[in-house]
Amino acid sequence: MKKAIIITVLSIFFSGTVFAEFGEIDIHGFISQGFLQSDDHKYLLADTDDGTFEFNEIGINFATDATDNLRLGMQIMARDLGSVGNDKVDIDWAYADYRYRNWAGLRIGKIKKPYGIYNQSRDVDAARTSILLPSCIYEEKFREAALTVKGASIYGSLPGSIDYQLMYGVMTFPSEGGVEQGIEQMVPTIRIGSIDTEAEFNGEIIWNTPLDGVRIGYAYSEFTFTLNINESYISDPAILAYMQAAAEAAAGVPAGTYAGAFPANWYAAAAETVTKGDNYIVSLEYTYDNFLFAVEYSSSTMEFGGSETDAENYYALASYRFTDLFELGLYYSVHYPDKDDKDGDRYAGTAPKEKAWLKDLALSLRFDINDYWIFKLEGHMMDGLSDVNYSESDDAVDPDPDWYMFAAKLSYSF
Amino acid sequence: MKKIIVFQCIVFLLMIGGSAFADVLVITNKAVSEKGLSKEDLKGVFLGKKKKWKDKSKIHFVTLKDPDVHQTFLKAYVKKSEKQYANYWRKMVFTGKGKIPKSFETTEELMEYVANTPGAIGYIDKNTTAVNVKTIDIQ
Repeated sequence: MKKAIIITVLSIFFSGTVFAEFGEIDIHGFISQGFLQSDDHKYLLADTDDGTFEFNEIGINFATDATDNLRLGMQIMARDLGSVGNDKVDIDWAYADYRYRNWAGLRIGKIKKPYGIYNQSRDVDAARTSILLPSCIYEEKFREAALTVKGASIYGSLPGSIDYQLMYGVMTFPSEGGVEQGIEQMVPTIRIGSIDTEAEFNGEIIWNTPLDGVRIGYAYSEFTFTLNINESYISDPAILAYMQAAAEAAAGVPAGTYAGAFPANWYAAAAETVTKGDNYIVSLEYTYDNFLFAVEYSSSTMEFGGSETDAENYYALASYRFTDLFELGLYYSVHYPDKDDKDGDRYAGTAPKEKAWLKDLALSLRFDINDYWIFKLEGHMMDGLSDVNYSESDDAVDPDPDWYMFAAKLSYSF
Repeated sequence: MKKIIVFQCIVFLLMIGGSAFADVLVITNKAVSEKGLSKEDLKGVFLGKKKKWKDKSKIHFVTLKDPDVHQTFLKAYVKKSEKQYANYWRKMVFTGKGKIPKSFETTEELMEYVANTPGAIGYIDKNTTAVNVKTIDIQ
């Protein structure tokens, strides 16, 4: 947190544009503080059921036109969302951008990844109506996997109003980050020591159609990473009960058959598991004056622990700016972690069937206090338990699949 | 006969659409070789996607702070509201893809910049006399 405060103070002193020996340097930054409260369950790896202020971002970026064709820039950022981030300062992006022609440019460094039309700007709170983007595609827990790649990208604008980006590089997952914690939440019997990633390909093409305000996009990405699972002793009674129930279901024996087979301090051996996957996203956005409408659909395949799962996600959102002060947004997001089991049949006897989906109806209010300050309020009506932590909920055995979450956020950007 | 009437109606509607765009004039530095731009290219300039003229020199585009002229231009050519345009450039800045466009308080300041900056392009109200700059057609 100390480092985050230092960044904030520096950003206030150095905001705007400074001139240095090597040219004009543009400096911009942002700081935001949010609050999350759910009526039951923990969400986004945060203690939302208790109400949490562990939801903030601070960033500052520096950029300069080194030549007419070359732009250099970097953004330093610290963020916190529940147990992820904890205000650790990191380089958010840093790259050299050489624009050869209108149709071809090259970026090298740590680059934002194209993954749906809103991924690259997902940390720019001022760029959208809502506090949280639809989680079916813009999952906050796995943000690290979707956000940046260290590598190279070619991009440009082609005749016919077509913009493209092709990228090749490696993802980076911080230790104890959202990906590690998210996988451990989904598979509570493992403890991840580290994640090794391999180079991946990502691509995106956006067609700004002849219809005013309509753009259509297609993005594709693939990934391979290795989970280095630590040996561990499992003593959590809830996890041991889960392991017993899963073993009984797999064997097709009555519940209770394996009582005593998973004692406290159960030993889980170290292992390596290669995870591969690919996904595509199809997007459509329409803007007219102060109105915006967008729909996105994604399908992904993941191989994990010898099994393959296909997920399906989609959402529709609309927003309208009524005045310079006020904008209203609404979205409906649907997430199926396994599109071949949308009813949750595979969880019978081991977990609530509602783990098979998460549907989110969200209403957002945005207030632009002035050109710098924005305040947002948001309500979520949830149906489902996918990616939800209900182990400490009011009823952990038969958790309520219908629950609510409230969010508020104040942000300043310059 | 029906086809001729339909064609004339289409031409009439296109002419009305074209005259709506004449509320602003697009101006460039006199050294810019282009005599005109397509609407697609003009939109690309002000969204930071088209960065070079045909002679490969850099495009320097500028905007006007006058809300009436700015909004008229954005609505006609960029197809964004003022807030949407501001949010678009916030996204560009915070993803490292661009810088906030230079913006001028008065038409005179904007024209002086365009006149003195090779590769510059901007816009003025149609009733303003263009001084030391050239106007280009938008097709």
